[in-house]
Amino acid sequence: MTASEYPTIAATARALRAGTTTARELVTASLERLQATQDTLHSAITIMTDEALVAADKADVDLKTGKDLGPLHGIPIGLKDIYDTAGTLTTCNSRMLEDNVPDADADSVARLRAAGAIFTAKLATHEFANGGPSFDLPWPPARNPWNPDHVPGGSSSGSGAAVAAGLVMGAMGSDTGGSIRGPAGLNGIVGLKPSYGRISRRGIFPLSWTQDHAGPMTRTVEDCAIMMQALSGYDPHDPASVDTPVPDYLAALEGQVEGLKVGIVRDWYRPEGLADPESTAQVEGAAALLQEAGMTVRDITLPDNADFHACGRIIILSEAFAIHRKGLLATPERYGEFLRDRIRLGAFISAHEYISALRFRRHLTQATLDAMAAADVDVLLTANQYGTAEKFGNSSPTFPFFGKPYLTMAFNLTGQPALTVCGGFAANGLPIGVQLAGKPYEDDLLLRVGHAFETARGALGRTPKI
Amino acid sequence: MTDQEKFDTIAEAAGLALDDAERVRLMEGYNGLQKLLAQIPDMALAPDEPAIAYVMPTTRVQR
Repeated sequence: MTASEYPTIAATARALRAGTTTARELVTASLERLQATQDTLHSAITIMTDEALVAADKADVDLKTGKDLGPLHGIPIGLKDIYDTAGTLTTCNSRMLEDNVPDADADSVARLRAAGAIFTAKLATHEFANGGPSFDLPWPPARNPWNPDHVPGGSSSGSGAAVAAGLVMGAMGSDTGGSIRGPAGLNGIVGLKPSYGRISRRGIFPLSWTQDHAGPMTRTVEDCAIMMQALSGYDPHDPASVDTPVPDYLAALEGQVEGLKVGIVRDWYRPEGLADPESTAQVEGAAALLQEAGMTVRDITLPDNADFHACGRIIILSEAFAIHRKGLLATPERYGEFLRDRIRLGAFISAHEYISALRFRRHLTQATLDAMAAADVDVLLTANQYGTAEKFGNSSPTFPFFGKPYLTMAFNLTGQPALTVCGGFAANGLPIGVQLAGKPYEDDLLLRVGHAFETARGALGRTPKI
Repeated sequence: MTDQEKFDTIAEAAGLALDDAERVRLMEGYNGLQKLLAQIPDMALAPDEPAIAYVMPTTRVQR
């Protein structure tokens, strides 16, 4: 494939309106690519051929008759298979739900549908958005399109692989400790974990009620802004949803970045060689590009990342065990081994320990916001991961979270928006992402900085060879 | 009580049915979990507690 075969949502929206392509052509191409790469990448759990083609034909008729739903009209989009889709299998890649067909769409799915998006696939996920990659589940794990011997990260593994491989133009992921930003970084795409409460989680199978975030994964920041415009808004049926005005995300991209202040969080990845030299170099390169774009970059010290990691992991384990307890006790054999082992660990956390973690979370969040205020910074920059995607077989300890603290967990605790953008490539040909984070509900400003970085970085100049 | 005995007591109280291999794996996890739990400080009560607020159904959170 060439770069021209990987059009963005923004460019495709213009082509649709110029009459140089049709939704039928776009959806057919998406379905064919999903099918053609399935044996290599395993990115899909369900390919939605019939429904997608009907929707595409309707989208073409609507556009011709003046019913234009906006830039997502007729665009092929994928959904992590934990998002409820009315009438379509939604499995969480678990035998527990392998025949589950929801009656209603998740709120975010309904919003994307209303904006004209066409769903071509339900995409691979680690079981219940945790515990992979695993080979004892109903569907095999997705693979990294840059090198299928390597993992695509998780748990939004299929979303990362499918967007990077040009199988869909955008996808939905979920992020409880980094499950959007991890795969985004390892697959060389853009992933946004929005502010907590910005996108409804109703109809998305939970892993941790207080840390789950839904968010888009795309090939550019501009496309991410387009999806955010459709996804954002108050949902009275998600208790965490916040009623706050929805900004014009696309307009925000064009705002001024000169004079913005960026705090670089080196303490989290640099000491004692935590991150490999190439990942460290990408963050330093990103800092230089942000400076060239007119921003000021200064060091900032935040709370110890190990504290965020411990706090977040205890909360996730406690809440996930509460969610799955009944199934784990009654039919443990219906879960994969990794998930069964990991989530049962939540049984060993007492009520007071869970509540202590929740209290510590508030302390860490306040300390982070205080540090940003004291350092007078608008956004944060840090590493997204310690290195490139691991090979299958090297990356599946039962309890990976007892190793280095995840670089993405902190912003699940604080609820700040966090954005991963590809910085470049390592010598092994695999992509490396960098992570930016904003203040709560300043998702629009964060996207502006991400867009400025992406513009300064220039085109990646390569696509996966699949 | 040894760590293994504590582990077995909690597992039994929680109703976990573990075969020998699972017991070994989960004991490894239990040991790792103790290190994470040790990082959570014993925080004094503060004026802005509680950290966990009960929000009534139908409450609309606005900013």
